[in-house]
Amino acid sequence: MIRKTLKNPQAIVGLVLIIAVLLAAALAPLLAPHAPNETDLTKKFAEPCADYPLGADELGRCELSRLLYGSRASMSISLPVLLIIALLGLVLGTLSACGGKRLDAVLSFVCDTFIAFPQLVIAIAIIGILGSGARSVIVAIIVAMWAWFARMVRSYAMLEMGKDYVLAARLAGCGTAKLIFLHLIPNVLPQFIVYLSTGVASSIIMVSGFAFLGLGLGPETAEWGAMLNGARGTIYSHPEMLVYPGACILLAAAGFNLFGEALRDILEGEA
Amino acid sequence: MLIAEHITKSFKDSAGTQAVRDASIALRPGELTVLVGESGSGKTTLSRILAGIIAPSSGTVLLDGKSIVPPARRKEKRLNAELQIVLQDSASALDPRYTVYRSIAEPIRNLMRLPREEERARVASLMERVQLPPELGQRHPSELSGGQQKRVCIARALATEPRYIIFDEATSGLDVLMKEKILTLIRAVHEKSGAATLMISHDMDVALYMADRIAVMKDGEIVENRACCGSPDCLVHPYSRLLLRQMEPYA
Repeated sequence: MIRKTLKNPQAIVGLVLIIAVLLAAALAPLLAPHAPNETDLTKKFAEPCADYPLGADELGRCELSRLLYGSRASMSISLPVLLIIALLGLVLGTLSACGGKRLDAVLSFVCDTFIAFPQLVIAIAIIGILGSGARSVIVAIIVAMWAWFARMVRSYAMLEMGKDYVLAARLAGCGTAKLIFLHLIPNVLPQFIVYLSTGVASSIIMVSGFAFLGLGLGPETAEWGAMLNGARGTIYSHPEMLVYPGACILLAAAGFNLFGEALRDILEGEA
Repeated sequence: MLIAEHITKSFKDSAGTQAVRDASIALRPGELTVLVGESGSGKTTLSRILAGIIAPSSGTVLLDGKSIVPPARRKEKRLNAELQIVLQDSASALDPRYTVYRSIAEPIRNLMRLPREEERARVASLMERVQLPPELGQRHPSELSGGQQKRVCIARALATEPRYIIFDEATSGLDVLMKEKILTLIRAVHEKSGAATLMISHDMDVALYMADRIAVMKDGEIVENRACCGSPDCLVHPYSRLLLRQMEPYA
């Protein structure tokens, strides 16, 4: 599978974008020429130069430095959120599939209830209750997205439950926990990773979307959505201030989406 | 002794299919019984009821006089250790992510809890018993032939030395040579273990070749159940005679 992935142009493009975003996040303190919130009003809307490679914003902050640190904000929220959702989805989805009809009915009802509302509506409601801040955004995204992941895992796990190896495992003395962790999860994992990689894209967009709406991270935070929000007033005078963070969101989300879809194509080809 | 008495099984589909109708059968220690019948006659359903995998609509299954009530049966380790089934589709019956070693070791780990050294020795001995070369231990099911997959399933079923073994269509999908090898293996396993063995087959020739006792099933009913000496003359029911006339001589 790794060989097939490396031969797939779409996967390579996705992977390059993902690695670029992750490297930018990890190496931001080394790569950024300035601190993200370092203001210099004499440099207000400075043109790109050696010291400010992408120019400066309305407060004279280095645009490139803020974009680099912005990747940190997106990744530091999106990746832990996805990790938690992945665990929740895998455990609840497989438990729903093999924990008996009653448990399945209860979990399916709860999932259906959450899925019935648009993710953004749930997330906005949660942030409305908890207030702004990174922690609220994390909780909001988890609450908004977990049911989709659990439902997806359940459907794959149900397919696996129909296979004889599950019955053979039961006859070999596997209880429900062993069945879930030793058989079902390893077998649904490839499809799940595909879904997860596209989920990262949704999460990045959601984090930036909240910041743009002023619901998530504060306006002082170097974050792509917040930068986009801050640059709205300069759309005619300095449109590049909108283009830079917008392009970052687009490329980061596209990277995870392209990679996820390429993985799905590879897996479907193998099936 | 494993006894099924007056088993009826109806499925809750739109047609209300009755897969098994008032079927009774007994598996005796040391005896190899072949349950034979056309496809769709209810053989697999009856074998799964006997194995405690699915519950009958009516009737009882008694293992040494104690009733087996599915699905609780699956949670009883003692029962799983004593009663094993080799499923029809070997490719599907093996976890694609498990190696041969891990597949065979799984019942040993769960049902016997042997130390790792003993587990390794037991897996090696089981692989030898079913004529699987040791180097296949680290392979995955997709890297095995149909016959090798079947052998892994048989080794896995034998892992806990069960007193009752059910082989569901053990030779389906295999070529003639492999079919003969697997049948010889089952016969050898049966004779060495002395287990009460039930083979499910739709081939009357396989039944005559293997059986100490043949039970013939038609439309969910057991129409004939008698000891067999290997001769077609053992069977007298008109439906059994019809199946005999249709069989091709076993090579």
